[in-house]
Amino acid sequence: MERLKLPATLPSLAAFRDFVSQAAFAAGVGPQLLLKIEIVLEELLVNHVMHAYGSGEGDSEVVCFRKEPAMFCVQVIDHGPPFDPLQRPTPDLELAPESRPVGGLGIYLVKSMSSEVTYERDADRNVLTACFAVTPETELKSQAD
Amino acid sequence: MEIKNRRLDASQVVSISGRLDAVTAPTLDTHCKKLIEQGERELILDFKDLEYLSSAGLRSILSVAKAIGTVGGKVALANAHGVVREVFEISGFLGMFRIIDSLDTSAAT
Repeated sequence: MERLKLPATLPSLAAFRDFVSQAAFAAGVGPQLLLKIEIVLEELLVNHVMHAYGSGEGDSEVVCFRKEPAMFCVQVIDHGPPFDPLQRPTPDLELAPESRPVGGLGIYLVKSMSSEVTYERDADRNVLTACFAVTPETELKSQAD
Repeated sequence: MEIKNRRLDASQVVSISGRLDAVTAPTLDTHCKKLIEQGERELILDFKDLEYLSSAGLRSILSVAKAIGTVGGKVALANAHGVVREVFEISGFLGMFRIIDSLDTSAAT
């Protein structure tokens, strides 16, 4: 299990992304699945930047681990007040551009792109865990070619 | 992320390459709104060289669509592929915008 803790700000996004990419690469995740994992990571971190600490400052922590059978998981943790973004209602995807609200799609993408995603409140921490099935087609091809 | 413009008949083609994420999305928003201010009424966003798109990018596209909609214009989405297309599909954007799968052939019509 590997972890990285940085301020919950947009400039931290790149470092978190590199950190997760390396862990995913080591776990045999292929490039297409990696892009989905990066999207889920960004949505969860941006959620922190916008909501977790109000106007104050705090840290985001990211943990990567493998889970049997063949899952790669990314955990995103903050120390803000209890907040479960997964409870957000699904946006109305049928609305025309003019009447469509500009927000709400991020968490929907998280739910759609991960194999499973859970929220838990652990002491003073919000813990969101997104797991991705590393199936043969999403696995990194052998280095032979 | 890199943004380039080219004219195609009455449209302005805006090609976006690289990653459209929470850090870069505001740049696209500003860029397109400047084009609308300059009088452009048909924007074609070309994603041929875009490899990554998050909800921040969707928000920018939606915001540009609303801005051009208020002055009677339109946005079309072109050449989305891979995970970018998947994000458009999940979010319902494929049903919401004019989709151009091959920019050059559709340009002739």
